[in-house]
Amino acid sequence: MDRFLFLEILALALTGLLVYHSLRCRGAAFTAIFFTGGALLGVLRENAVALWTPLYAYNPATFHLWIGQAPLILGVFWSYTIYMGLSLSEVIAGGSLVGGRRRGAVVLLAMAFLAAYACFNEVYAGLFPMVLWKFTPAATLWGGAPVMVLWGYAGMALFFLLFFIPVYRLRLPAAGRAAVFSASTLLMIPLHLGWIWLFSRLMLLATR
Amino acid sequence: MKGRRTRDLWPVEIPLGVLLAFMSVGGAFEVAYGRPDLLLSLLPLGAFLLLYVLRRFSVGAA
Repeated sequence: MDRFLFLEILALALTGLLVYHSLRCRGAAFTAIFFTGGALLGVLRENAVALWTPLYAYNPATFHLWIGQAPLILGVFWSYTIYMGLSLSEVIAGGSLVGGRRRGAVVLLAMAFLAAYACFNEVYAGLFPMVLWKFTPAATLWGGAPVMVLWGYAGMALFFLLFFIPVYRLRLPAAGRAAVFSASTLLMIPLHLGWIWLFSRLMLLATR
Repeated sequence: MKGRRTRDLWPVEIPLGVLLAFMSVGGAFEVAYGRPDLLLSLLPLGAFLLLYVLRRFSVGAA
């Protein structure tokens, strides 16, 4: 089997474990809201980026399963990584995102996890290559991965979790909250693109 | 997390472990080809996970 097809199927399968953990430890409502919103965010954002921005595109020679201009795996990617970051951060901080205890520390640690995750994920993506970079400025880390991706991953965790908290607390059935959170991705996407634009301006100012 | 203990985190740790194992082996092969970037890029996540492991076992021991 082709290595990338194996990886795509493996990632989809491993997401099942995270969903299982979420169902068991956080409940059905949390799981429905988090993973439905995450799936929509991934598919919509990556299609929007590929179609309407000059940031990057996915290599059609690498991925097998697609939704529009985005690989299918992006439907689980953001919820997969943010959920892992959230769960580990809650242990480190001794806090809880929805319970409110040390919430700030949990969100900051989740952002740090996503930035650390971005380092190797994007190096891997650049080496093989899964992604065709078009970033400006083009300051890079190892393997040609842009510095900007660390900021981008951390920002995605920030927006995702900050939108998640108030939606989770709405007095609506789980399906209603999942619908509201899914709809809020339409706000998260431009905010996140603005977050990346802000970093590119700061980088340009710093390197001028 | 509804009072669940940290030992219940195995469904989160397995995907992360599989990913890290895959990347570490891949990174080691890349080193053999004179490209250490993938292995070096694991360092930030390694530092984060060290913090997690220390905290997890200190909580587990309490």
